[in-house]
Amino acid sequence: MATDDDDILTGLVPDPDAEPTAAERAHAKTFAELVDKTLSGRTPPAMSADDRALLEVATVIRATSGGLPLAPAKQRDLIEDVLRQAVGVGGGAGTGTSSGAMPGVVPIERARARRWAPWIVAGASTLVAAAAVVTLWLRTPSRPSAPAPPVARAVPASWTSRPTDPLIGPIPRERAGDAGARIDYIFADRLDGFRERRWSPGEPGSRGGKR
Amino acid sequence: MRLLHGVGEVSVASEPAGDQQQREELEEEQRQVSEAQQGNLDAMRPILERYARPLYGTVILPRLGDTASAEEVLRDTLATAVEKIRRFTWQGKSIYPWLRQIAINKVYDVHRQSKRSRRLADAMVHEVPVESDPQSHADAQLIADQERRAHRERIEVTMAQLQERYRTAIELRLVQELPREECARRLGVTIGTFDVLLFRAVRAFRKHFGERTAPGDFLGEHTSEERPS
Amino acid sequence: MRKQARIHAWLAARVGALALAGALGAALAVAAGGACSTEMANPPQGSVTKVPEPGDVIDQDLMISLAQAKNFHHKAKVYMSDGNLADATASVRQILSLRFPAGAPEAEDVRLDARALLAKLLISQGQIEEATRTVSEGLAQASRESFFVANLHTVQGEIHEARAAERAAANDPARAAEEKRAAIAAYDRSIQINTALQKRLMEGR
Repeated sequence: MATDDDDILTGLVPDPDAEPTAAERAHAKTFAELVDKTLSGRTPPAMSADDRALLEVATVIRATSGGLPLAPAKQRDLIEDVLRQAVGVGGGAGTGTSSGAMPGVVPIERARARRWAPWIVAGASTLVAAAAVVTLWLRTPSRPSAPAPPVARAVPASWTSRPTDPLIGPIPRERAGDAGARIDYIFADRLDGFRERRWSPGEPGSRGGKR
Repeated sequence: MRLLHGVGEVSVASEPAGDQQQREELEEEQRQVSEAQQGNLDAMRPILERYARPLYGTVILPRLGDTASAEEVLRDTLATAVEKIRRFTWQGKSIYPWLRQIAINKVYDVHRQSKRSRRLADAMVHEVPVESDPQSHADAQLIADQERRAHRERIEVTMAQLQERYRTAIELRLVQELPREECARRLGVTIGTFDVLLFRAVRAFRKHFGERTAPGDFLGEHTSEERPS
Repeated sequence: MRKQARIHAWLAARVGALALAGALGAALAVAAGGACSTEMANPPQGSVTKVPEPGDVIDQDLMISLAQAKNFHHKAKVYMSDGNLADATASVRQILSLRFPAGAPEAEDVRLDARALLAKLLISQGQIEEATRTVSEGLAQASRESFFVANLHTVQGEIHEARAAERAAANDPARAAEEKRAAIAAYDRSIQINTALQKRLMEGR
């Protein structure tokens, strides 16, 4: 996010002991949180160009140290996807019928089975239906009991509606009117949390499983 | 699925397989390629499974620095390989160098769209011998190991140029992946101060990393005999 | 033969469907009866999954409001790039009318930020009084100190600077000096809030 360090990528890097400005502290905190999320596999979809450049460098260092292998499940999905598309595009070869029978002619035994098959299905449906009714009728109604106390479930902070100060940091004077860039950043951050929550198993209305 | 020895592992190569084993593995790979070229694309599966991880870990991700993009590039690489398998000519060595070239070309397609990331791309290109001994069948393993070592050397050389506290910050947080609190404790600073140290360390690393490469250093990798894509 | 098979299939399908429909109806009746009796014995309680603290989770309503704010900002940006400050101003004003989920802290932040931009747009169109009102209302409505409140104080300082320039041009040095002092006070207030917030954020970890 915007800070007083005009050239994050090209400007001079202070010595380790140099006192940081408020803006640098804020930017450092934002970057630290990005690294946090990335290390836990939740890289935000949107970030400033400067942060993305620095995060790429961090990822290169991690990857080279062996810290980012391709997950087996991801590898499996990728390969399945590639082969499925390749085979689908090529068309299925050799899919002719194995039977030598002439089209339109059905052996008598099969015809008989065909004739009875619907009744078998209908009969099965009736049985299933009857079983369902009996089960419900015989089911003992649950005894009224004291309701379970509300469960206060902790959720990650990133899923909650909260002030955006830690995200935005101090606003330098020259960016006082840059609200358009800040809303983009806020929106992207909250969208990240929203998606995480939606995809988390056990959340109401979730689709289950992580991204 | 049995891997060609050592290629699927990220760590330094384990003990070498016997020559006979390597020959058998190479023959098996040739058979799979031939079957795929005759129309049974599913025969590519063991090849893709064998080389997906080293392509991702040593070729694509170190050059892109972004896992999401790296996965997309890997998918494109594998898809292109399957699509163009008929154009591949078996030359008595592993198909891996061919796959690797496809991957590198895809990576540079990504970087060409972003001038900003071009510098990072250039910095991660270095001469890795692709043409190995024709008598040796351990091409894939050799290339992947060499590439891994070359990446590591480059990182180490850059790290050596950093001030010690910056080096330590990167080592603790990004290599050992210790939590921020632990990193701060080991350095004897507050979390906020550690955040600033890491921020500056990564900035400094990026500056030094990009400065070591002359423009056009990457061109050598594009002059191989056949550009698969 | 074929016709017989088709008739068989048709009849069987009807029987099956009737059986299922009948069972479904009966099942629903049983379940409803059961539910009614259960309900009468146990009045429904509050949700057991409500998150009491800290704030509510990010929901669709919040995302929609943020998306709307984003769109209006982008509209304003397009108008500004065309030099159409009047329509840009109107666009930013609409953000102040957006409905947000009750109590969402993001609402205050987004509105204060919109006010900062709105005030700057008004200053650039010479509407100093309107800019002053925009900032004052925002500061009055703020429920907590934030970087956005600090930013509004910064913009307030710029308004005072603009007034000081007006007074100086009108040969009123005394009022000009007064406005400059007010500008400095506004900037000081902004710095004070930023410093306190930074300290709080650092300590809060």
